[in-house]
Amino acid sequence: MDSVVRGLLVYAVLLVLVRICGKRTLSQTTTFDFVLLLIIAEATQEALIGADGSMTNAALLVVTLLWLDVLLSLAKQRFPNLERWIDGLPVVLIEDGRLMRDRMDKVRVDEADILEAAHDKHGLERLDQVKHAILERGGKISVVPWR
Amino acid sequence: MRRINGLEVDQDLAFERKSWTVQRVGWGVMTLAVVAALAGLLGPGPASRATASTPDGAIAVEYDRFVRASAPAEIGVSVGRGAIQGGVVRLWVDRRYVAEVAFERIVPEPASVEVARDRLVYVFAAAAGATTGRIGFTARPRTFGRKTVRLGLDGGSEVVFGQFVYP
Repeated sequence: MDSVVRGLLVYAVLLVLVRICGKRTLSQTTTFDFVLLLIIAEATQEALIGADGSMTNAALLVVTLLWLDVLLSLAKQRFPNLERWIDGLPVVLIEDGRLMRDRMDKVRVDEADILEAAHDKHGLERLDQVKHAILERGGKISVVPWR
Repeated sequence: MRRINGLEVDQDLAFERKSWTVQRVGWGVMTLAVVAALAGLLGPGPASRATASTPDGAIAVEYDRFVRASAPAEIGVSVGRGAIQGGVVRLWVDRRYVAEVAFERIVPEPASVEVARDRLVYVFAAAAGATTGRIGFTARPRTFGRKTVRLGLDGGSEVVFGQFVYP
């Protein structure tokens, strides 16, 4: 019983925290994001496992977490509103070549971040070659170049 | 699917503004949590430390108001005038509390433990001529919630204090 409750609580806490911090916080754009992710994993591990290092406990925990994930994905399919709150929605940052400053400020993305995505995915050289840039739900930036 | 200048994207700025507000409230809550933890409201820390003593000053207990389940918590019992009798200190602790926390370590180790109806009596040997002393208990709470701790001198006065155990 203990491990199921622990799994539920840690899942819920992490879900809420990650969502509160915003799309970009742990999207692994920098090396330190990745380091932070590892530290968070290490910090929650103890709370999840407790003193019980048995195979049964580990298996039960994995089952609980995956079961929750499946359950939540079913619920999200059924209730689109829930999906919005849990996964968020994409935000357009460059619309037809125009930078949407206020939105960029709110989601904490600057031109350098968009340029990085433009360099990386399309080999673009300048920001004015970008027609659309979208901050996707997972925190990655998609770029659509002018044709 | 919405279309913005030919771009098919599920953007909803009204929703986004709502979620940004929620996010900012969330940051406020996170700040409060960090400040509360630093102050000692979510576990051991400055605001958590407290002392309780018997009116006659025979025992004074230092403890934490806020502790956490399965994390070690210190309870220090200072024994004073009249606590050492016949070369021993006979300190009892409520059995209910002993059942709810696991005593991981007791310093000094008791010479013996006696089981009574609702309490455990720990008997500590005192050095010849000693009039005061300090006994440290390291407890690891097994369950969470509010706990009432009662302890005292066998045949003497008792101390009652509360502790809140976070999960």
